[in-house]
Amino acid sequence: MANAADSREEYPLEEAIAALPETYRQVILLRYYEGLSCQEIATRLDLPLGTVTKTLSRAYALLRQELEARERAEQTVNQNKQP
Amino acid sequence: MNCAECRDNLVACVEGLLDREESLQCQAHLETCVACRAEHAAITRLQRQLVARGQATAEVSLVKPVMQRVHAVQTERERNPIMTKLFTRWGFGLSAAAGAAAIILIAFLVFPKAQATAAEIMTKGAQAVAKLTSIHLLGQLRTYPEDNFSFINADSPFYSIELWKQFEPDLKWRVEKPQRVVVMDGKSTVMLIKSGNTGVKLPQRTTSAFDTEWLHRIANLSNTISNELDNARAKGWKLNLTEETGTDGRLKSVVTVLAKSGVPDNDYCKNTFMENADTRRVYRFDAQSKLLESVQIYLTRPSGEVQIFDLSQIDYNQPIDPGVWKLELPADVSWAQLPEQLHKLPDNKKYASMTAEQAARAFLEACSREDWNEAGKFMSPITDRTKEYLGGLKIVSLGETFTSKDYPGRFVPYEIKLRAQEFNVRVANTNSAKRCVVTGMYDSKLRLQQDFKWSTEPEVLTNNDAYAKLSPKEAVQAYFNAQSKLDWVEMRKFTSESDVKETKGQVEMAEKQGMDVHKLMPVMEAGEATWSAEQSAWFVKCRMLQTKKWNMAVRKDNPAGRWQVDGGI
Repeated sequence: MANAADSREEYPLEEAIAALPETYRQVILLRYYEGLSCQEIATRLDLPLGTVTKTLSRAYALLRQELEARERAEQTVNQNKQP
Repeated sequence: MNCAECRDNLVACVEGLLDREESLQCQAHLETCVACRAEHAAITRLQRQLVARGQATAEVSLVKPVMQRVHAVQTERERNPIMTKLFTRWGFGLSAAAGAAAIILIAFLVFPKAQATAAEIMTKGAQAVAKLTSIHLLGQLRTYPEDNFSFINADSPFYSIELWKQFEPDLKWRVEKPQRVVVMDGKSTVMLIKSGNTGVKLPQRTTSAFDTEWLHRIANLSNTISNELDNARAKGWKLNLTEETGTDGRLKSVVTVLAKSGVPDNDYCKNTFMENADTRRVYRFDAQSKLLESVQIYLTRPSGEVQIFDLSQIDYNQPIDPGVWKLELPADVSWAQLPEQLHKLPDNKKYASMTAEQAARAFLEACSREDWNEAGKFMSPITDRTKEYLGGLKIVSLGETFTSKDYPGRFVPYEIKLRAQEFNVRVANTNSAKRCVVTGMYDSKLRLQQDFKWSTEPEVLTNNDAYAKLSPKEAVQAYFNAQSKLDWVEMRKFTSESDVKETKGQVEMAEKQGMDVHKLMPVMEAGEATWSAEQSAWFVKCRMLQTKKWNMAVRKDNPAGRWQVDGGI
């Protein structure tokens, strides 16, 4: 499973983004990978600005959870590798 | 502002979306609350990370795929092939991390989670072979040894097929199968047809020639793999990933693609069988090096799977022995007319200014007049078989020309009526059923072409009398009619089992090549019958009127810059 583990080390953030539910993933992608402002996202998705910021807020929380979970899993793997 | 209100506003605050009043309130709360300050710090940290990653992939536009996705989710519509185009446009030339990160994101965006890993393996496999100096492929293909290099037939035995290709310092290649070899040594391209010791020479450097396109396409492995992924995504083909230990003891990632048939009508590969059928393609990658090590293609048939291609060896960037670029020609090699001689003809200007359609028409008209000197300016060599087959044809229509895939020329759709061919059918009723049945085929000069072997006597039919009443001419006509309706049961009443089997086989083959058999079946007319006491049988004089509707491939990438007929005739 060497290669699967490798990819996790290389792109942890992308993997975490990919694992987000659709709604949250799309705002993250539009905000950071497309460089749109919250207002622009609101216009594009036809949502009130408040909904965009709330979604973004929730997306951050989920992302952090996901990243922490991955980090823990990583540590466990590394510990297990030790003799 | 309390903690709950602060948390609600944190993102808006970080984004600078709060009005002055709210912003000040938020700042004030943060200064007094450790927990909210920690939350604020965590968000800013994550934001910085996201900004950095976002900028690293700035050269890749995600807005379309993301919006596409948004749209797809909102309307629950299927994914749009635009994804394919975007993916292709990005290619794999993007500077390492940025491209890879974006592509992995896309892989996850587009494929369900379970399939994403397989897509990732393929993406990395394509990246691993993006820049090559040379490649050597060795495998086997179900084909005919006598054909050029693109024909695939599931019922044929396997024949070896090999390709050597040097990309740097200069392009050279060689493709070889049992009866044919093509060598492009950097200056010219020569094919040796071993049976008959015929040489065909193109006096220029080519990227592919003599129907080797398909192999060259595969040899461009990075593209092959990424195209496969694009198609899988656009058409919803299933990807599957398994892992196994190879014979070398190393871990292998095995990606299986279940490809469904369906290619555009104007596709060059439409007549090469493979894109016309459902196939299972198995790609075996080394898990560590990510290099593709083998490919197997299986054809799905109602009776089960048949393996048609086995690429068992792939050598990357190995130095190629210079001897590979030298083609040993037999002493008595005879050369097909070289297209480069054409531009020396005084009338070159007229031919060089023709459009593909004009050239196709001029060629067919020359065949129609049996002006073989003129026809030879478009196709070489003109064999006796060509003369017999195309001589005296009538043009019904020519369609609009089109291009397809990476074929360097154009295709001209045409419909022609071939000259009526005369032949004779031998029928006899010296059997217990007392019906006229076909026992042999003769040419117009009554030379035996085929003796029909009847393993058993013709069956006595339930309505045998009706058949026994048919005259020899009527019986032959009924035999032809059954054949043109592809009514094998009816046809069997007039002919041997092996004849039915053979005809059926030919029809199935044509169908596999994408031909509309019903339209292509020749019209047969049975004429007068003559009794032969010597044979105790009748000879029925017949005529075959055949219409042919297909695409003529023409190309003009020769020094004379003139359209030459390359195939499809």
